[in-house]
Amino acid sequence: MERASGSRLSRWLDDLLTRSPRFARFASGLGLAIENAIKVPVFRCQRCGECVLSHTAFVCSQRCPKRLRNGACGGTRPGGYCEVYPERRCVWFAIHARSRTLGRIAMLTEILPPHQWSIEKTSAWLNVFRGREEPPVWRVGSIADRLDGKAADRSIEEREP
Amino acid sequence: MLVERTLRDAIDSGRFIVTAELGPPLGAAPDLVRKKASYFRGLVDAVNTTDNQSGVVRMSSIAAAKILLEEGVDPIVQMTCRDRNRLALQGDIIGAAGLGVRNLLLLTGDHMTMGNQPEARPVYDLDSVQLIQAARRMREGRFMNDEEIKHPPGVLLGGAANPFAEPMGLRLLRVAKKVAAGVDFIQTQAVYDVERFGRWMAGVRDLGLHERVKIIPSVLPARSAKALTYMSERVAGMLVPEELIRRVERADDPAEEGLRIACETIARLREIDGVSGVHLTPVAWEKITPRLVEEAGLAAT
Repeated sequence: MERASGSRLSRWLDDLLTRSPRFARFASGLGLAIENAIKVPVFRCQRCGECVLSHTAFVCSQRCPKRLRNGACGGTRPGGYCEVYPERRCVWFAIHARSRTLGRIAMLTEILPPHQWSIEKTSAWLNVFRGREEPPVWRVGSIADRLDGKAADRSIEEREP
Repeated sequence: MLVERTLRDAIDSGRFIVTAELGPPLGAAPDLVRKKASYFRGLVDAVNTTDNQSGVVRMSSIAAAKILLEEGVDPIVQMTCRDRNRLALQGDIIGAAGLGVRNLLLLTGDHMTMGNQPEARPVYDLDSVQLIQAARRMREGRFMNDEEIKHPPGVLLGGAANPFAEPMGLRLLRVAKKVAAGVDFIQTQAVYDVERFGRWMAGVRDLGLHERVKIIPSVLPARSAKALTYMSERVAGMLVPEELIRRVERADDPAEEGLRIACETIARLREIDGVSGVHLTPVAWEKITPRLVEEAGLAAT
């Protein structure tokens, strides 16, 4: 695991968690309990341990049967229904709609890195705080960096339906 | 047998690209692949081998591709994220390249519930955008964990797009991500509604994606109205306009009508700015390819 490179506080916490297994058990148990109590009922959190809600307009993309982190698959049915569960709306359909409402379309243009299964079912908040993020090689940034960003945002937003 | 036409040559020369699709057999029958290869050899630039398409187990796409290479056909190996995790995918990318494969089409993959063994465990360790990014980095000499690859796979990378799914903005976003992640070409879902495809293509042009990658729409000639209805209802992400189904139904010879529709579609697609080629997917009708290539005027390219 890449070591934390964040603030002094997060480095201090990471050291403490690494040094003391008892404290680590307590902290992760507490963190997970609080997180589950909030995120499971509110967002139908799937406990992936690597929360992407802030990128997806607070709709959990991990509810997708294919757990897609970078947009809808090609199998969506007419009206935006799921390939696997025809009675359910595609979560990416909801993410796109909510992102437009909240003015967060630009956040959808970032390519999200592969999920780290090694931290599944751990506290995502604690993971962020400890700086357990993907190695920086995966940070290619948004499509806006590689394409004409402003134009990308505009044409993705306006071309409806 | 020498491979005379390749996708890379077609892309480099700037000529109109013609690719086709081959569904590997349901058993250990290399001769079936060889027979289908004979319908394509010399007529198209490259041939896709599907990867357990629609969640139905078939000969693996890499194995079928190896047989195509022996038959003098440049294969495009399709790889989905449905059945393999990132270790298996990376192994198969260098494995395929080691066998002489020079093109990959990287997909998320139809879910197994669309197939005939729905109880299988879905993998989806990566999504197609992440797989494309991983493959591009592998081509540049790095595994996903950033360790060096001594002999990187020299492959062209492709992605898929569905121009007919909603909402259009989300679709364009996904294509743009695939382009940013590093594809060289995009093959689309089969086109029946050319006008709607044209609207999607306008969005692609607005983003300038057609200047960075080759956009290759699919054309699927169907033999009967029943086949069209089946695809519209059962194949993930496919839409066939009602009037086209009726046109084939009313025809005296439905197969001829299906072929005529395919030729008309190709002609109209070639008129659209930014379309770089066409992908022929004569599912279970590979035999028609020589006539289709001839009558659609693709032989001259």
